[in-house]
Amino acid sequence: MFREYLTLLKPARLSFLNYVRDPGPGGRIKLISLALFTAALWAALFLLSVRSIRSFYSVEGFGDILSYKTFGLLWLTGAALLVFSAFITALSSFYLSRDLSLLMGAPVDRESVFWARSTQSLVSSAWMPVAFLMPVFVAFGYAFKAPALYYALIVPASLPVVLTASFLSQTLVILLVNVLPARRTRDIVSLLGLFGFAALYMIFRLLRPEQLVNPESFRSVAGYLASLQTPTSPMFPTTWASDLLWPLLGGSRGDFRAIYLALLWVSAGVSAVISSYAAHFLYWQGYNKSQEGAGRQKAGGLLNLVAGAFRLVRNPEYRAVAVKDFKIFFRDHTQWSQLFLLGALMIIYLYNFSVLNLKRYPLQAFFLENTLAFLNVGLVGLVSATLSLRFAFPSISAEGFSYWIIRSSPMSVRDFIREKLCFWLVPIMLVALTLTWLTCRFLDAAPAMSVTAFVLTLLLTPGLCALGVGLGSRFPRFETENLAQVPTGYGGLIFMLSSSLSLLLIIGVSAWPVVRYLRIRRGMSHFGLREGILMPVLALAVLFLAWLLWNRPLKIGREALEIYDEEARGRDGPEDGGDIPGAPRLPEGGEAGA
Amino acid sequence: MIILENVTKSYRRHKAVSDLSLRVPAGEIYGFLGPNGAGKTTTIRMVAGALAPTSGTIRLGGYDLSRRPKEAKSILGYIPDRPFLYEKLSGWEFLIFTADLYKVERRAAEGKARSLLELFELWDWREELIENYSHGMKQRLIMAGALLPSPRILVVDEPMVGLDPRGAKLVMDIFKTMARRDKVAVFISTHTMSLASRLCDRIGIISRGALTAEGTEDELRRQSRAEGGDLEDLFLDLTSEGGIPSLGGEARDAAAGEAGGGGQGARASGGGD
Repeated sequence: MFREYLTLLKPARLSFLNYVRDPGPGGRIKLISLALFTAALWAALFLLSVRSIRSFYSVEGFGDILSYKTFGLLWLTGAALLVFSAFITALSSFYLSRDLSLLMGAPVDRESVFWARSTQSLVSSAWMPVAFLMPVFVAFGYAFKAPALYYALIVPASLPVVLTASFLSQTLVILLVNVLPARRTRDIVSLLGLFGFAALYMIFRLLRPEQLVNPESFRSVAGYLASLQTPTSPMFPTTWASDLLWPLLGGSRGDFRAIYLALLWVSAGVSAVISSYAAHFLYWQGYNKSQEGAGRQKAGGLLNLVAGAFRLVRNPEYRAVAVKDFKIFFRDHTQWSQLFLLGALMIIYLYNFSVLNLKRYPLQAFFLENTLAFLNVGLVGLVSATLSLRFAFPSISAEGFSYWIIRSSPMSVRDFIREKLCFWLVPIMLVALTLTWLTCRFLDAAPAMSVTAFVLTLLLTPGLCALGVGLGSRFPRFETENLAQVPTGYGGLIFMLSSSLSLLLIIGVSAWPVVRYLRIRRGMSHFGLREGILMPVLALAVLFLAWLLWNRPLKIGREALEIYDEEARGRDGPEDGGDIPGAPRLPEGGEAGA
Repeated sequence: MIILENVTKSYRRHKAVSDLSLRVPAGEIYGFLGPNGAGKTTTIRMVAGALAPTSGTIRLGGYDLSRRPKEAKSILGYIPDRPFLYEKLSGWEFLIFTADLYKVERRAAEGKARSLLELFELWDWREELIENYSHGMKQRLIMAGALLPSPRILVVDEPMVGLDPRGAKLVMDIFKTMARRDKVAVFISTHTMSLASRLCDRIGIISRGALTAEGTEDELRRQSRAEGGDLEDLFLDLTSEGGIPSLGGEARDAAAGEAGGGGQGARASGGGD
């Protein structure tokens, strides 16, 4: 069975090695830039963590307990992330992957298939939380000048937590697929995962964790200590991991408690056994159930009625693709379910502004309110960038292997890209303008500042959406099984960097006129020749940058999409007969870091 | 109607199609044959506008595909060998989508969509999402979509893949009618010799990216060393270099052991060592 297990892991292992060996045209640069980016991110995380830990520890009287609680909370958050991540990947690995029918038909033990899939699911769900948490744990050791034993124990302590979280999620998925009605099992299970994540995110934010670093806001020491009661429990493996390492941060080797390490590994072993039993009795049964079709699902109803609004679009090509995109988006749970996350993001965003009470500082209130209203344009820009990354960026890849239909039709690539842009720009713009308007109201910003914020949002959002569609065309991933993974690739990384840089530039250029305006309004300065010259020049500069952000990515995307097949096929050459018609061989090798 | 002039498609280290020239006049069914990896699908994709040639010109109905793609593609119907469709649309929605893409007037499109769905026996399934269709049903829907804009040129890659004998007969009849009655130029790539023999007016054989022979079946027979054989023998003769690969020794034992012998391998071994 072990040989079978190793053989079943081979495709993933060899694919990865082949990609590293020959990442294709431009692949080496991608790998190097990715490595540099990761190293920079780790360094930033490490430095930020060291700073934060030191500032926590310096809070008089509470530093020690605050640091301890933060350490525990970190383990708990990491484990929660792992559970959700493993939940989604387990569903895909065990029940949705295209190669499963091949494996299930092969003369191999089904439990070998399960364990191979379990390993793949574990690796793909754990690498990101682990990679991001490691620099933070190292930062704790550095800030507290911990002995070598602390560093040596980080991996042995975190590995069983990862295993336990992963096995528990896998067991849960196996049980759910067996319990839920077969027809929509896959939809329901993945929806539950996303909904749970959105709920967890909202609960975490609404608890206002920032209050924990502000003891002055509590009336008594008892109240503060009570608020620190995070939901840790002596029965949680995360508590054992935290309690295993925490004493070592005090600097004494004598405080090493081996019992916690034993408990961690026993819990990982027990979860593996439970998972193995679930797989033995329920995996094959659940697999069969999940393969039953979703039934003869009919098109029609409310969706068709709403899609009727697209009749207002005069151009038949644009209308055809827009109606198709609209219907596919709302019929595909992997796409529309992301609206849960969007909803959570918006609620949290507005909530943050609604709890701000700037009137506490009467002297600075005007400046604070209006400066925040201006900076809020940058934050709204970040929201627009996130939405563009989640929705506009993958909209090209969403065509999938069916892209041949567009490619062989009379619709030009230019029109195709423009349709995608128009389709996503409308809702993203609506969200951006709503957020700007509501936050300006919450902040009680001056009318001129509200108008400025509105205009800047109107200028920025189309550019960010165009950046999403343009880079989505430059880095398409038509072969992807899960559209939600498209933004996690190399193209997504380039988008994040470009959008952040553009936002910084535009906000930076607009900052000076805004500050001058506020000073003039408060009578602290007057409108002179310098303002008369610089303000229009900077306004023109903002207009130019916004135009550039709109224009360049679309051009890059169009040019790339027009020649995509040549670039892509350059890697492997043709394979007549085994070729996918019109289907791209992608310039992009795979997910970032994968 | 379809004119390829010195068309070449190169990849980094490989020439998939080399200096290919051919013509398919209106009303002709042209069969494009070749072994795996010969460049058939690459050529078909270039003619369908899904792939740009490295050099050379492709004209469809007089329009240069690279300079006037919109006009060229608007008279083209393309049927690929694999039925990749928008799975979350219904069959009816897909046809209306196609009609809009090709700017077919709505009322005419609805009438034509209905008759095509009835013709391809998909009318009862029109409201079902395509994800519930079988492979053959998807293939028939793609054909309906390709015929809906009344193309003057039809480009087909492996038309019979996934079709049952009844569907295959229907498709052959449709192609013949389109060519004879409506003067549509039909360009078909296939591996099925019997289909090419029964359906095509002329046949082009491509090997290693170059056209090695072209003409009617009789003309091909004259060009070939094979005497009196059927199209399959002609094909094998015209595409083989240094003889047909044979199964001998260990390879034959392995094939016989694994697959129980017989099949293509056993037949090919007639080519000799």
